Amino acid sequence: MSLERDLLAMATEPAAGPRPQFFDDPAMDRVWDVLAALTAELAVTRTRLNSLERVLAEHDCLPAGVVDGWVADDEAARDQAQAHQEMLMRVFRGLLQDAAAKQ
Amino acid sequence: MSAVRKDQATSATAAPAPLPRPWQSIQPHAAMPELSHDERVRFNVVAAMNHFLAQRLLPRVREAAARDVEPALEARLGRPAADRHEYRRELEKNLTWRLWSRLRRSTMELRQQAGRLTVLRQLPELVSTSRDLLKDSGVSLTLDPAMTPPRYLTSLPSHLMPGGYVTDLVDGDVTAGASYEIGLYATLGGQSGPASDRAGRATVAWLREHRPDWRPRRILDLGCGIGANTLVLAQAFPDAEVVAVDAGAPMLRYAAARTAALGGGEHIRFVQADAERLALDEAPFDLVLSLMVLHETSRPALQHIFATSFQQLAPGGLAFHLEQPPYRDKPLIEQCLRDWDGRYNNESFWSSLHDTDLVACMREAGFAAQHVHETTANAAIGDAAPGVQGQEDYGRGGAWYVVVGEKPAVQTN
Ligand SMILES: C[S@@+](CC[C@H](N)C(=O)[O-])C[C@H]1O[C@@H](n2cnc3c(N)ncnc32)[C@H](O)[C@@H]1O
Repeated sequence: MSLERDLLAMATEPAAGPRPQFFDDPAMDRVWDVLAALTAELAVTRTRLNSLERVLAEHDCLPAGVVDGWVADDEAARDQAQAHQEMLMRVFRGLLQDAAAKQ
Repeated sequence: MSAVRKDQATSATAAPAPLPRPWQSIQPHAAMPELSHDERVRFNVVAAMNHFLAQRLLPRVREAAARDVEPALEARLGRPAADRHEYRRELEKNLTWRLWSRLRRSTMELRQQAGRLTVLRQLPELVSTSRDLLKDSGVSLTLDPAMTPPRYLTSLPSHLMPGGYVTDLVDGDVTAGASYEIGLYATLGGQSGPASDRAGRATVAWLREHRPDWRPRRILDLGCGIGANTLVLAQAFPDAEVVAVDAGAPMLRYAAARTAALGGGEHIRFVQADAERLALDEAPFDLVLSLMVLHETSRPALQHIFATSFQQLAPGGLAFHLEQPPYRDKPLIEQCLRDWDGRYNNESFWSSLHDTDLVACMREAGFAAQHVHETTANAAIGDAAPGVQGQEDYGRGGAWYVVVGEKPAVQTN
């Protein structure tokens, strides 16, 4: 059973209230927002691959649905959380470096 | 000019702060949406981004504030900033602050979209599961379809939740409650504990310490949300009658189903009503609570909720209002960072709450001056010791301020 509605559009509806603009040029806000989303999706993808590798190693094969049902154990979850930080340090390198270089 | 405190500066050699808890460490129950691998990971990435922003970028904002913002302010004004608003207007020109703010807002919007889609794709199942769980569970739920929600809940829905706490998308909707529970866990990186009940545990710990043998017979929870903290109170006082009030029907349906699924809260009655003008035709309460509700209301609403807590209280009873700690003597940069959610995350009353004298408001609500006190409450996150979370994610941490009001057994005024 599912809702006969455009779920993606419903999920993407903005909350009421002001949408802040942090930069002088609103395009800059949009670009950074897209970058944030892209970064998140890339991290999701990388983790998917990481999970897949772990599952493959565990099973020697890949039956359907195995990856979706797989839940990271504490150790894997820690590794994956660590990988997220590494990825973020890569993507936002310039921003940190600019700020540090001013010291 | 305030210098960056040494313990707050990041040094390249300091040990990194502990990572956020993985999403799957959440306490599962039968009313909760199911998440696929990528949905769980997406929430983990939201937590990772917040961790990154708090641990890596925020120290740079502080440095920039001390190095650039404060001298610029003093040069322009000929004196330091008088208050956080003056300070903020200069801070808002700073590029590092802009980037931190932009990304923080984006992670919040990402979380809302992700949580909502997860819930919507299985909404019909969630609705029927929540109905089934409630049936014969003992947990009671009374909705009032005629109720008009307070305007602040619809005009500025908290933490950017589309439709806020009060909008029904379908018959028997639980969307707001379900996406609140799963998304909040991601935003806080598990800091409110596996069952999102840290404030409730802090409240129980406070009561055990300050009123050791007290057993309130009737408990009223104002603005109960998904009832996670209500359940802790109910479990701590299994003989009490507990009434949990909220304005949002989709919150209450989910709260009732969640309570039924987890068990131990069969003596809770969930009631849809406005805590500002509560007309319960029943006996008064020994303990009246509001946990993390005030910052999402308004100045008049706060006064009305305090008045409700006085009116509903039995002689000898205790009113307990738990909130974010006040800014008070904190440096202006700290105040600005903590004010962020108020300005950019739709927390309607977050900022002004800090300029409000809650003790005075309690007196105005009817409590005698000598029976109003300020105190603090805290509890460990699940199994972890308190205070090991590293750099606090401003304003969202778990160290609370509480204003309590007592009604003497024999009323003196
Ligand atoms: C941040 S949530 C806190 C929920 C809960 N106390 C907890 O600790 O998890 C705030 C809740 O207060 C409710 N609320 C705000 N104003 C209210 C009012 N005037 N009457 C009833 N509920 C209200 C909202 O609907 C929302 O569910």
